[in-house]
Amino acid sequence: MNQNRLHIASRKGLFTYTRDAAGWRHSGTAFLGSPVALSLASADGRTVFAALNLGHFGTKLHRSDDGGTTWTELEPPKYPKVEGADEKEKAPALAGIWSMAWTGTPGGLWCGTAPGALFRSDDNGATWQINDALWDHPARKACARRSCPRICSSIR
Amino acid sequence: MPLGISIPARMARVTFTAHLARIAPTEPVIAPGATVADVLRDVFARYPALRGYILDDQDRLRLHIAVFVDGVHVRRDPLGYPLNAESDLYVMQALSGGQDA
Repeated sequence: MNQNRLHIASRKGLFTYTRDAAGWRHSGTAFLGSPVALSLASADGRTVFAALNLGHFGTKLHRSDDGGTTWTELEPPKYPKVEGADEKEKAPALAGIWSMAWTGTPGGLWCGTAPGALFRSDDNGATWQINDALWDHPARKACARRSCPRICSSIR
Repeated sequence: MPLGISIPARMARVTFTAHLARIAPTEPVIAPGATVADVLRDVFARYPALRGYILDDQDRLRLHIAVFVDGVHVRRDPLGYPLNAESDLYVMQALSGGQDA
């Protein structure tokens, strides 16, 4: 863990603070004006993820490989495609990213999303696969009906 | 042998909200297509990063995106909306609120 750098995700951007002998100082701003739901930094501080929740344009995922100086937009996790007009109408689409964590293997990440699903990447966030065991679990549908609207609204 | 008449291809003029200037064309673009979906597909081929900002995981128009065709806000099945020979399309953020909303 880099004890001397702090990334603060806020509704108006991602703000980075760095600590030196004089104390904490503001050292960077990214996505100014955009709601940043969360950020996740690697132990060495070089890799940083930022999940954005843009009101009109959806949930976006960005990665920095230089500690937050420059950013590249990634394809965010995608829900399984549903065919058929009626089914498609209520089919799930990414509504928010509310948790990210390292799996502990190189380039490995977990991503918790709304509506309730868990995705995994093994290539540093370039591609994502849904966790089928949880997605297909019979309890998920009942759970989603009860609690998902609340979770979705709390992360927006 | 050509008959001497040509059926004009339907070409739309598409303008995107200035809020997408980072990833969308900043000037109106001309794109062929018989429906809004056709025209957008052509634009996305040229601006791939734009797609996820306008459509969701199921290729539906995002809930808070509004499409105007020839001055009319198309609320019902906007992607399937048929276009004229020279339709004018605007892709904007949908806004709500106020007394008349």
